[in-house]
Amino acid sequence: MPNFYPNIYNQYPQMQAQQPQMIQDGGFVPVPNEQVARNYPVGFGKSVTFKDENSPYIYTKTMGFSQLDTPTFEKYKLVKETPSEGSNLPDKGDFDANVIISSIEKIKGEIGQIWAEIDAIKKEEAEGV
Amino acid sequence: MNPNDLMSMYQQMCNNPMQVLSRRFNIPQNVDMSNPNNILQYLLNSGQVSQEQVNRAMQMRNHPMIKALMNR
Repeated sequence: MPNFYPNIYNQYPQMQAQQPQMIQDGGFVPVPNEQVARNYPVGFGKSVTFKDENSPYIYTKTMGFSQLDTPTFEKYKLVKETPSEGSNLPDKGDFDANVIISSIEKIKGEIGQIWAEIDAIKKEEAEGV
Repeated sequence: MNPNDLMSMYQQMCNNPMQVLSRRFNIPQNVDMSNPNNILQYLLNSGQVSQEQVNRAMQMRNHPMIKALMNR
């Protein structure tokens, strides 16, 4: 049976042009589970990020620049933040009750002084009339 | 290409698709062809396909039309 593939296909193809030696991100790839991500084919110097379709995890698989390098596999768990957790309020442990109470007393004192000044101004205006 | 050659190609693909694939991409004998990931890894290592092409091909497997074809 004749071979329909000319010799040009049997020759070893020219390698792609030299690219900078840096990890390139292939973008999110959906996978059904971690094992599929671990077995996913990744080229030298490439990094692929996976989104688990059935579990709250993100995986990354990064290949080195030679067959001697062991691929690096990382697993990240997605944790949902509640609205209160996402606020800028400090943790409860950062609050000192005594500091808060003394601050409130100080503010009360300042308010009292302001009212006294207002009363004095009113009295001066009434006497001036 | 005449119709007879075309039919012959089609028969080759039907009878032994792995042989046609290994000849087309010059895949050596020591690559375990039973696992598609091994084939893709070889094609990546030899520079015959890019990572983006692999990603697109892998995601095509989830397309409903492709799934319907595979289940025939």
